[in-house]
Parts: sequence; structure tokens; C-alpha cells
Amino acid sequence: MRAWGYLAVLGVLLSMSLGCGASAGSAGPGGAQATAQGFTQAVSDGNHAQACSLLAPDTKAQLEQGAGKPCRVALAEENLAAADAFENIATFGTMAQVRFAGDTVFVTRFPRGWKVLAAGCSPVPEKPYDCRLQGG
Amino acid sequence: MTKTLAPRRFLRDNGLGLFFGAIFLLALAGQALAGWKTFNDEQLADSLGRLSLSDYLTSATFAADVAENWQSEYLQFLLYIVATVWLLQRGSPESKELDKAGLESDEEQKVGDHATSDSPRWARVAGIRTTVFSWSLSLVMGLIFGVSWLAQSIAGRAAFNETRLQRLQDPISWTAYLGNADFWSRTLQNWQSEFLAVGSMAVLSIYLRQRGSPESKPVGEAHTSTGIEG
Repeated sequence: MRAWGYLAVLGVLLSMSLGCGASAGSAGPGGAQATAQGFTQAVSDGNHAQACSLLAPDTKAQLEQGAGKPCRVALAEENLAAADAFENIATFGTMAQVRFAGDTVFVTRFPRGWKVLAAGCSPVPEKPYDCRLQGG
Repeated sequence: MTKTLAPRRFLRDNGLGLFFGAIFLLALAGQALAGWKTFNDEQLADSLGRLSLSDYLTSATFAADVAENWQSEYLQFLLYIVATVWLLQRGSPESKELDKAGLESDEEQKVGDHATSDSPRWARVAGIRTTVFSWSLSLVMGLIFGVSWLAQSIAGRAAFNETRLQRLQDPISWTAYLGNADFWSRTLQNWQSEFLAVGSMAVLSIYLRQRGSPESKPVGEAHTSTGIEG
């Protein structure tokens, strides 16, 4: 009888781990994709103040410190290429990778929602992505 | 009189299971709290968002940490249960007597025609049900091991990919994770400690004693006596 109790706990654990690829609620993958698309759209529209509001605090700080200018000015000077169509998203816990044609954006989950950790990223074989904009 | 004694008797008759059930829950709660703090400390150090306790309890990181220990514990007992059918250890109370290696006769195992009136029904009926019941302990332990290890692989892959994304690397597939060093490092670090503990228990109990424990020989029993428990 106790063995069945253990099995029930294991079932819960397994279903929990199966759900780990995707987070629940408004902070789930939909939020991650919306943040990444909102960021790339704002950059394409030249609305850099809006794009800056979607950056993770450390990413924004590194951009400002590197350029010695406020975020919206520094972001405008980065001349990030406009992202094309959304391709796919991979979400694991507090992190998501959102692929667009010609760009990859990494977003991370904070208590108040998803923010852009890195953008303007290009793959480098056997190494981390090379990103025009990144924090952490 | 009987009513007031009933709870006390229940506690006495089930003390072993209740004690381990209680310390399991306490240890799991402690692991959850310590793991939550460690996770958030690392997130803070990387300038990333922190998780609430409820989010942490449903995270891949916590699930993988729990499952990797569960699978190794159940594997340990599965191997011990099955290995002691055939493998002997001279002088150990964990071993059967030296002439009893193997599955033993139906008479010794009280199955089929040799079952007694209080034998479990599946031990009496013969056929497939008796065969299944004869292996039921190993089957259930093996099933729990398999499910735990599968859960570890799924949750471990999710936790591993979360870290890879933080490092701006592509995630990997579940099949790729099964061949990844992270999966085998988590697995083997648990297995080696379990195998060491069981092996040392079988050997140390040849020469050492714990008075009153059924896991030990009686204190005055000879070192050469095999298969005798206190």
C-alpha cells in the first residue's frame, strides 16, 4: 500500500518535471515571446524608449555604461538589424530563447514579467551566441 | 482502556515506518528551503530574477535534485534485494547461509502446494500470479527506480537548458542530454555513494555489531556465522 503512495508522489514529480519546459501563467512562454517581439518591433519602429523598458536591468546598465549615454540614445546608436518573422521559442524555467529570421533574442523572467537579457545574437559554433546587446 | 491504548499501540507497531516517513518529510522540506535560497542567491549573483517558493517547488531544478536521489536509493535497494538472492558474503548477517544461494525451493518459499493457511493468496494460487508475487518487491522497486530516473532525465534536461540559455547557448534535446556529462555526473555521483554504503554494510557487519539491531548479528555471535541476524 505504501508503495502505491510512493508511486503517486512519483507521478506528481514526473508530471511536474514534464511541465518544467514551459512555465505557467502570464509569466509563461507567451509572455516571453510577447516581450521579445515587443522589443524587436519597438527597435524597428524607432521607439527606443519602449525597447529600453523591455530590457533586463543589467542589460540596460551595461548598454548605458558602455556607451556613456542614456539607454534610448545608446540603443539607437547600436543600429540593431530589424528582426524578421518569428520562427520558434524554447522556454526552460526562467529563461527563453526566441528565434526570428535573422536574429535570436534571449529573455529572462523576473517577478514582474519577462525582460530581454540579450538581443542581436548570432550563433558561434561550439560557443555562446555573439550578442550586440547583453547583460549578466 | 482499549481505546486509549490503541494510538500508542499503533505508534509502537509502526514506529519504523512512521519515523522514516516523518524525517523524510522534514528533510524534503529542508532541502526545498535550502535549494530555494541557493537558487535565488545564484540568480541574484547573475543579475537575474528570483523565484517564489511555490515557483521553485515546481521548477526543474528542484525536481531534478529530488529525482536524482530517489532513483539512486531505489536502485540501491533493488540491486541489494536481487543480488542477495545469488551472491553471498561469508560472515555477514546481510547474506543468506552459504548453501542457500538462488531462488530456493517452493517448500522453502512456502508457495503453491507448500503455502500455509495464512500465506498471501497470490502465493497459494500458483501460475503467473504466484510468479508475479514472488518478484513483486523487486518489480515495484525497479518501477520506482525507472520512473525516478526518467523524471531526473526530463527535469535535469530542463534545468541544464535553463543554465545554457543563461550562458547564451542553444538548448539540447532530451536524447542529447541522455549522453551528456551533466546527466551522468548527477547519476553516478549518487550511485557510487549508494554502492559504497551497501558494500561496506555487508562487510563491516561481519566484524562489527549493534546490540539489538536486526541488521546486526547478536553481539556474541562468531565472525564466521553467516545469515544470522540479531
